[in-house]
Amino acid sequence: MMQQAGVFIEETDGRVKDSVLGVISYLRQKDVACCAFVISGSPGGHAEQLGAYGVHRIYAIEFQEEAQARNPQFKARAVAEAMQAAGVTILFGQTSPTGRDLLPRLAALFDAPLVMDCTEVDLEDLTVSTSAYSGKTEALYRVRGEYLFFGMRPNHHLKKPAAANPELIPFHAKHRDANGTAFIGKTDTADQGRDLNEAKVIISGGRGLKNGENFQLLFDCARELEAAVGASRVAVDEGWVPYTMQVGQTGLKVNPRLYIACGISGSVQHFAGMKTAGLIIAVNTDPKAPMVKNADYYLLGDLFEIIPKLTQKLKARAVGKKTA
Amino acid sequence: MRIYVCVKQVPDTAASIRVIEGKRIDERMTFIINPYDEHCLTEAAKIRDARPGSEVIAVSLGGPSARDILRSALAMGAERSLHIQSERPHDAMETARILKAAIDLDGKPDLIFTGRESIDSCGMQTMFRLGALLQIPVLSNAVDVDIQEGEAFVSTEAELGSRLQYSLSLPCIIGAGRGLNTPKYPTFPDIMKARKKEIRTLDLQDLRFEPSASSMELLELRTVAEDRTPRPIEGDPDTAVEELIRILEQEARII
Ligand SMILES: Cc1cc2nc3c(=O)[nH]c(=O)nc-3n(C[C@H](O)[C@H](O)[C@H](O)COP(=O)(O)OP(=O)(O)OC[C@H]3O[C@@H](n4cnc5c(N)ncnc54)[C@H](O)[C@@H]3O)c2cc1C
Repeated sequence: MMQQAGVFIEETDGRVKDSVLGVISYLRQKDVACCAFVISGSPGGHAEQLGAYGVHRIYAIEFQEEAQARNPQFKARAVAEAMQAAGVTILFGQTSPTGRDLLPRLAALFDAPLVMDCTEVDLEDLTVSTSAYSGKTEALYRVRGEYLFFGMRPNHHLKKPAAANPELIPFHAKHRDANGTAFIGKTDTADQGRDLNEAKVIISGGRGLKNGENFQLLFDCARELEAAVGASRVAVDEGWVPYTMQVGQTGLKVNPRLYIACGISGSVQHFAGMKTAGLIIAVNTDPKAPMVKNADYYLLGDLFEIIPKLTQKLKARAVGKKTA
Repeated sequence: MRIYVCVKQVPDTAASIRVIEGKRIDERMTFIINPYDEHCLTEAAKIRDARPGSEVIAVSLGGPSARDILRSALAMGAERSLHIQSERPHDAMETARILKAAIDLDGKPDLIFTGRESIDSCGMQTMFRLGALLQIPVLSNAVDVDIQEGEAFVSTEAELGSRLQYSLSLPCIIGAGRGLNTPKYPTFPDIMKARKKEIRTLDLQDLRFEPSASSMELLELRTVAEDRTPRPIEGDPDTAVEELIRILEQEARII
């Protein structure tokens, strides 16, 4: 019989995140039937998009009150109920802010194993690969339990379409006990930057940027590259950019196809957050910087000269393409 | 108020990791207190200081290096500490059970802090499991905590730096994020005072808990090879940027 697994759907701007589609494609290739769990205001449970990637069933979870969808405890309970209704005992999510809250709550509810930052999962012999010691080592675990939970490393597996015609099942959450947790409100930050977890390209700045205003150079370049902007801890500690932009051991672990490090020396702690990037390019004045020594390409030069030039040439190129 | 802070020893972030027998790391290196736990201790001390008669108790599970970490925790403001002695690894299910049993043995918590993750294994789950066992609410990645009568108001950091605000009934568990505060590092007198504070040793055999039916077992640990071969992008700035664009287009294929 075909293996079955659940996937928790995360969305951005009303669309399923590419990284989640990557997880679905990964499971499809392993001949695992995917059952999607969606908590969404958008009607239709993303059926069209999920169908295009081979999802068989979609549980569209609805709450009695809007506030319940905002309560992490209700959310976890609802997904647990939906899993039981669907007969799903294995759930995949992501190592993202959402997954970091939801997956451990579910694992705790079921007293089940959970491995975060997974790269490979073998559902036959129940082994999982993940990172340990800030990416300096890779660990292989065997998990045992009636229920199993996995938080995948975002963007490790890329999406590949595979058409299916999913069955859409509306699911009404019944659980009413908030377990002492009440949602009060949400404050959005002023910056509308791209999600570093999802980004295919990241351009990051460190002490070499010298102040917060200069980060605009990176934001300008990022617009041309459709990139997200990251930072080293120094840039955050100096108050130049918010903590949410910090890449590294005590910040975000990112996994883009391309990482451009500008004015970042490349400390062990910074590498801990970006060493899995597909291609690393260093822009630095110091030929001895560890970032230069551990990149795929390095450009020895002043970022204040290089980056604006890059932005300008990319702009000219885009205009050239349009008129061509 | 009785505030427990779970602290963990982790390898110094700058240390290189040597794997032995494909399963363990060579522990002959410096261990530090998990960076997120420093935020916990600082926050716990602040809450305690605002409420006379409160105390902060640091709890750690591990071998002899856990004692050093507890000393640091005592220097950072904890009154006393519990060292649960164990030389063997424990999975997340077991760790949570052991911590619960130790806290149960010691006293009734009003508040428990943990770091949002430990930077060595990054399981990100201990606080949620502890919460489920104690049947009390949990929030992690907290960047603001305000304790009121019987309630904790907690802000957490979510996607794209947005903040979510919650209230939790006490007792509860809070996982500290890095935005919570700036850790207050001990002064020399703090360190001297810490030497006289209590580290209560608990043996695993003294703790009672039902084992979990689930398990996570480490089969293999491998050093990740640093296998990039850096190539220069050369020439005057104009030539170099042209070459950079070629790489973005033809190798990274992102434009
Ligand atoms: C427990 C712990 C956790 C940590 N966690 C993190 C973390 O999560 N993330 C993180 O990043 N750090 C972290 N750090 C800090 C880390 O050790 C480094 O201090 C930090 O990464 C250095 O930041 P930087 O590269 O921006 O600055 P620096 O090391 O000062 O490097 C600046 C670089 O900019 C270059 N430069 C200067 N001017 C120019 C110019 N005009 N053009 C081009 N290049 C220029 C210089 O040559 C240099 O290489 C942590 C440290 C500890 C102890």
